[in-house]
Amino acid sequence: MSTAVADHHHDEVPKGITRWLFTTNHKDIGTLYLWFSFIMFLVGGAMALVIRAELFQPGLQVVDPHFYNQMVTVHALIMIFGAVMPGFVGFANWMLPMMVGAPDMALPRMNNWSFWLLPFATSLLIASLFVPGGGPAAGWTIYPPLSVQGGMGVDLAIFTIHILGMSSILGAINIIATIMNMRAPGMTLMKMPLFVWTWVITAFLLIAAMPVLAGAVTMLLTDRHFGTAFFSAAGGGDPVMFQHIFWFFGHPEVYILILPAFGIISQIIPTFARKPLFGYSSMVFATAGIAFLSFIVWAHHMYTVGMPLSGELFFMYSTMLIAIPTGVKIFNWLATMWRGSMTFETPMLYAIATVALFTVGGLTGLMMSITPADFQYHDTYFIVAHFHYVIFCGSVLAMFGGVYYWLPKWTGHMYDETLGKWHFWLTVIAFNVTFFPQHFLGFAGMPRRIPDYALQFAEFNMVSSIGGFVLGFSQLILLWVVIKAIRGGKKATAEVWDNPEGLEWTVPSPAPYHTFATAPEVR
Amino acid sequence: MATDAQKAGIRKTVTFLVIFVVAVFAWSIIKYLI
Repeated sequence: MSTAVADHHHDEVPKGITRWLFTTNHKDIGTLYLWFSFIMFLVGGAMALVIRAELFQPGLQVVDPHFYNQMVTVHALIMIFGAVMPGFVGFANWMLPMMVGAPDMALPRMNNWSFWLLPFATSLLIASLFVPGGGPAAGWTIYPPLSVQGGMGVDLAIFTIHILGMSSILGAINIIATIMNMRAPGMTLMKMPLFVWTWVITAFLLIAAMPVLAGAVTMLLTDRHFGTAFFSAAGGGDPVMFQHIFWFFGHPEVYILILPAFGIISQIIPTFARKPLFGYSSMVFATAGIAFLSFIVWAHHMYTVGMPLSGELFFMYSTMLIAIPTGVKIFNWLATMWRGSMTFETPMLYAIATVALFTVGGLTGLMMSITPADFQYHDTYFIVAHFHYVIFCGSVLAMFGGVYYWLPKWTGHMYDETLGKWHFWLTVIAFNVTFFPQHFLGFAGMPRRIPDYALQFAEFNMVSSIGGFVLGFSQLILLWVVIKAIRGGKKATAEVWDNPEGLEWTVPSPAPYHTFATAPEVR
Repeated sequence: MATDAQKAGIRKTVTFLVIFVVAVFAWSIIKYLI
């Protein structure tokens, strides 16, 4: 793909706080999203450390059990809705318009609103910890009847979900409208970078899944305060119905968290393997296939609730099918690296770690898709290990890789490679020290969501907690790397890397405030 | 910024998506009321 670089006129950058409050510039809003995501990552991480401190040894020593349950719940909600989702929207804001050769997002003012909903929503959630009865404590799945019986904190969590959901839907509409209507001449759908493809598919998942969650929590709210009985057996309703509705949203949500990560590493690997992405069109169709399958597998989260044998078989087989398009992707990433002139800068290390460790999470997921086996794993620490391998190693490691990959384009300076490598190795080793032993704990029967445990689980929990603290504090290195790159350092060239593919590398580093005011020609 | 043709396309896309979102939200509740 060869391109013509557009000129960049009127590049005055607004000053002061109003720049950030009223900005409609996609790069500014991307920056806001990314900083917000990182702050939430630290807040949610601090809650994880409360959990690991309590589990350091058997017995109750740091927090009381009710507060422990609140930490488990709010940690998950903050990490999913406050850290990972906004993080990827930050990448989308910064990179999508540049990647498709558009001057900005299709709806810039709505873009500002989508972001500024977030701090208010998450403040409500954090505030819920200080109201009478404390925050939500029923787990991030907020299953009734427990969530119907909870205190005011549950209401705040419901409003938080409503507002965050609205922000996500507005963001998704904006992304689809941008990609469908603002592409540069010649940028056909099958010429779009993989990150753009994965985001447009993710945006459709958001559009279809988030309103369902909004419906579920609205019914929960009316059950709590307006006398309805959607989920109350005593009133003719059914609490299991909530689980079905929740997971109809919840499983696509997993792919909302993972598909943009697949997009990021599909950008990174070809650059550092110095080869075009292997099997581009199969990557696009595999992404769409995963998205479709994500809507027909939801009840694999509910095998132990009880369902007809035919239902168990359907959800088991449909879940297993996901391994096929996922396997296609992993094969293609490996084939891209095969006989490439590979170098191992920090973004590439993160991309390789994502492929390797996400595969561990994917394979344990395949184990759980087998219904009778899941009866053993369900609600144990095996599940906790599994989804952290998927979400941390799939989503978060890819995001770290993306930050290192595009940081020179954002700041105009190269990051400190030595510090980047320290961050990588500490993160990856500490992650595995934290979560690999949890597979064994789960196999041995340790239930999840408990503040105390039997003595035979002590050693692995101690190892896991030590790893957790190292993992948490290692993230301060990333903070330092980013601040250092913003403040100065070696000047980055426009291309930054060795002949990378994509329109974003045709503009100078740092990217001018306004890019592609005149659309580039893509040939 | 956006050309007139792009603006018309954006308007159509947004209208379709908003109707879709409202319909999914409404149906996720109404199907349990009827």
